[in-house]
Amino acid sequence: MKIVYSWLKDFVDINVPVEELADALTAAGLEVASFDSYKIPAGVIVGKVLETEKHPNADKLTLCKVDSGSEVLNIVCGAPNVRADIKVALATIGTAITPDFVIKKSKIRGTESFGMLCSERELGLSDDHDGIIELPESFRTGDALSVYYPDDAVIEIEITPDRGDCLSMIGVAREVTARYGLPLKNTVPPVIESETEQVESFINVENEAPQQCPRYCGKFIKGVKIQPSPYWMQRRLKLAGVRPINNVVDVTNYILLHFGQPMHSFDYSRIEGKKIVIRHAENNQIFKTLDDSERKLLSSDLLICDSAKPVALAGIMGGADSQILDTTTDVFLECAFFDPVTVRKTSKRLGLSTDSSYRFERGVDPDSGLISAVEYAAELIRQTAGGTVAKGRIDRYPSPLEPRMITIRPGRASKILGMHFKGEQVRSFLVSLGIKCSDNLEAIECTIPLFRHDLAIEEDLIEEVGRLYGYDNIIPAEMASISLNTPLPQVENMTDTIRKALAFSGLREIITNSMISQKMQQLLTPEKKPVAILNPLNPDMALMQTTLSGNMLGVLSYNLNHKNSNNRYFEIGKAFEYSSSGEYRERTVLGILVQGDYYEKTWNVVSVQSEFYVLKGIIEAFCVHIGAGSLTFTKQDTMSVMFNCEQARIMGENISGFMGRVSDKVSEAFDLKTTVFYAELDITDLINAPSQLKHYHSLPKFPAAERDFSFVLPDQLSVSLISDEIFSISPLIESVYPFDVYRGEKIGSGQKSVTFSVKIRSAEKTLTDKETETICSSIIKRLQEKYNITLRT
Amino acid sequence: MTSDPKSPSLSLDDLDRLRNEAESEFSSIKNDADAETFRIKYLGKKGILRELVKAVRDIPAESRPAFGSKANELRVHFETRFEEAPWKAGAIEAESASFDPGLPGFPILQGSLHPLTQIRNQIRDIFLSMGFTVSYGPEIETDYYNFEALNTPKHHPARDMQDTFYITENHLLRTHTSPVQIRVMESMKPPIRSIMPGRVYRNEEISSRSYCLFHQIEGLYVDENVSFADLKGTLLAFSRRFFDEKTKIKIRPSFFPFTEPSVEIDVECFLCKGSGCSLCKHSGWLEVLGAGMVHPNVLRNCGVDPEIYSGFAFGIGIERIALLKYGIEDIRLFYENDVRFLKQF
Repeated sequence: MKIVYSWLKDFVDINVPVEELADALTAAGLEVASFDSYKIPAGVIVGKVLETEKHPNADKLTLCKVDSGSEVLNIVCGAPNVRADIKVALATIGTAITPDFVIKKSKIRGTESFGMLCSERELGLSDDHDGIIELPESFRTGDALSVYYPDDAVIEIEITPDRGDCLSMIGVAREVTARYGLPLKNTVPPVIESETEQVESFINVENEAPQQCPRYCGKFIKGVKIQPSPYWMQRRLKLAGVRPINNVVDVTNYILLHFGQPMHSFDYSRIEGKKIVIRHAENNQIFKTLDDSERKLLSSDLLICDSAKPVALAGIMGGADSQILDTTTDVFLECAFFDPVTVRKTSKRLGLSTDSSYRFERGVDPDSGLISAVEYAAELIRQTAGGTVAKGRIDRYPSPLEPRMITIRPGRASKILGMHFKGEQVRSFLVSLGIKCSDNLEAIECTIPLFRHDLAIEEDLIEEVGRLYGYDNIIPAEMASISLNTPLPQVENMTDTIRKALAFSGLREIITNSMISQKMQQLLTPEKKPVAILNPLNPDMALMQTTLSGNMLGVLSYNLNHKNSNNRYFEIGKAFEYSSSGEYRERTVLGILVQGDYYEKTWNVVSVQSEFYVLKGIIEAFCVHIGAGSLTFTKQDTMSVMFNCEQARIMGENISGFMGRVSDKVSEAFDLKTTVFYAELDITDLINAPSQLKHYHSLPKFPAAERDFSFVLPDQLSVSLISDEIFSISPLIESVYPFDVYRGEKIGSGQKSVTFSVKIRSAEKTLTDKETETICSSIIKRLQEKYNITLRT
Repeated sequence: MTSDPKSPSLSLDDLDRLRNEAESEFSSIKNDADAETFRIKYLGKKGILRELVKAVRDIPAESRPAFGSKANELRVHFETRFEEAPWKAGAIEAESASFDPGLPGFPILQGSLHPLTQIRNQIRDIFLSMGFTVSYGPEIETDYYNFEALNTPKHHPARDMQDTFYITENHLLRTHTSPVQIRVMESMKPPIRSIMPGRVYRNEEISSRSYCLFHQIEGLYVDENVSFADLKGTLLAFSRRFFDEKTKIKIRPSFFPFTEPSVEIDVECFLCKGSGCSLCKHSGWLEVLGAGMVHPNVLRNCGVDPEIYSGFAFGIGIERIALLKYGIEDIRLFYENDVRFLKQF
């Protein structure tokens, strides 16, 4: 909403610098986005073009003789619209259009020029730069242009959705009066009306939908002449960002900005049957709005109709068949209060938001504001377009809206705001906003003006008190009483630990989108039922991700394209899908991705490739770090689409997932020409589980016996299985670690030789050789019996 | 010619010559091996300097005392020098010359936490220290929790403030973390002090200023007698701990359907300390959070009696704070995850 300073002064005698006014409005809750000053530079005067001729050396230039009031100047002008007998804005020699652009006597293509004829943009009047300004004939040649266009300022404010009442000059003026303790000037000149012709004799209004249109008013003006509106009105409209059209339409726009009341003007000659009917549309009815679009309507939409056809979509836009034309002579002016929800539903559904619908949605003044608007509009049309205003006005208001009554307890206001307010003080703040207040200072009964749709409960009034007192003046509390039973943020502790553990392993945390394309979801997790978005921003974000892998691989692709080789990331995010019972399943998952060198080659280090066991090591390390217990990694023989050959399922207490080498098919989809390893773990249960106390084991008092065993086992037998088997053989076995794996001719194909280092220790004594050997023999015997594997010979 | 101490006619001059020769050989010792050769040749049991003592016998009697004393002196001199082992110092010197501490250290792997995580945790830790706990809610929300319960009925223009991604007519991607307020108040009785961090979604065109999702930290404090002064004190304390201990705040009236009164809180620009710079667009202030007193309808929707309890709520945009704090111009950098970007945090 653009507020024109000079326009504001119609309602309030305010004379502070624009910066100060802007601050005051922001402090009142009308946030100022920007403000600009408009000043016609000194030296710009009204000139009259006497004669013109083509420039001898340039096609697009014109030589003009311009009367400056005191002399006739030769001026070269490039505008297409320059011609004899028009009045122009003449920047004389020495005028500073901007500090860096001073008008000087100059030679243009060999011809001397003694000034410049200005466009609106050059003078900051508007953005129009298509030609020079053509001033009204009434401006006197030789006068400073600033006589007609005095200095002004425009403040652009952002109005929150609750303050529809501030979408007008009067609304903002009300805030200014409350802020500065000034009176509101709101005098509407009386309408000069016909003494004989009654409005009712020209138009008959029937309201079939009083719920959706509680009040409908109208005026009739006969014999208008459509032409441009007066310059002062055009100037105000342009400063407020509205394009002038003609005197009648401009008046309705002017009133919209002046009072915040949308209006519509109809060409009376095109209203069939001299009748207006307010009724609901029929389902699938087609209506052509004045932007020439055909709109398909529903029975919940409200229409303004004549006796034969619809003429306007109520409160949103007029119809193409009844709008004001250059030939219009008689005008019916509509001024109504439409139900905000009805207007909003239609406007939203049709995607058609107008200055009018925007205000009706937020609620306009059904009371005196509406009447002032329609009366003043009629008078302005009479003044600017001529004609005669018929006597009286149409006013269909079957059940007048009652003002809301709200009681405010100053004691409650003090309690909520945390600052003591006296009854008197509370009352005076509310009175300054035009609210009628009772005299009971313990519980002030307030009559809310009908234009304040936002004031519905006591807290709304408390806000007004706080706002006018100034929140900056409320003393902040310095103490707080804190509950001693605040629950521990377990999830936070757990995720912090996970993040730190992974960062210590050299991984970078990334944060990616949670939405993904259907194509990627199908490729990565065809087995899952994804959650789709009804109105996605674009097809790449059509679904909620079922795995983090898609967006993580996208990041990898981005980094490789930007020459960031050797990547290691993790992300903690959400994966979404429909459960088998159709519920939304939202799980916290951890994705880990490694690619390239884990250790890069340097002057003293050999490179280590990121491969399956590097990724496994990272996962094991973080599990140790967070005390998650040990994990089992099982080979998956049925390949998922995501992985090639090296693929494992990961299981542990409160944690599960999968890992492997990303398949060529997936790599190709992300345009990756490198081997990538990826793991994804569902950590939802892990981070929500109660934290595990770490157990202390006393340090051993007796030495351990260490024995190495090299067994030959078939490839399909997992080393971890054998390790576990050995470990289970005796409670004295402290640890089993497979420290070497060998494959080769000596072993034979399909076999591997694995050397296990076994530590045997008793907590009670030093083991004798015999005791150790007994355990060793049982290891060999057990593996022989159970798995048919023997020591390597 | 090499002196031969065994030759019959040794003179004092011969001793001088011998001394020079030994001196020259001694000074060319570079390592322990050279030293051993020297020791055997001169100082060993059969070394030249030992043999000199035997040679005294062959010296004419009148020169014998002078020769003997000089020969002995020579031997002691070299024995002493040998003990000092000056070649060892040379070896250390040589080793030291090849040592270069300027070579890169062992490449210990370095990971990092995303800047948004870091900022989130900084904010969280401040509120944890003030006795807030942490609560969570789903990202796929119902219309009820995201809007209705938060006093934002269907067909209210306030819904335009947040462009929404819908899953079904009644399910959506939450547009703010405020629905977690409702879930928290439904699940526990006051006093409630909790922050609610999380991801939120907005159906807005992606640009340098906005992304289709971002992260918020919601805060809620409900108890008897919680007032606007408490809200102000809490957020002032937060701002001072997060930005600077002298930070000032400025409060503007605003509108959120679920708080009444509603305010926006501006924090004095930490870069220019309020004097105006490009970060704060020369205003001296940064818009950082929205807040307000919990709307009585919201309390009622959660079964909390607004005549007994009151509360405040606030919302902080993590990206917003991170952009400001690090002077980042484009929000998309957070989601692109360029390693060169991540490395800086």
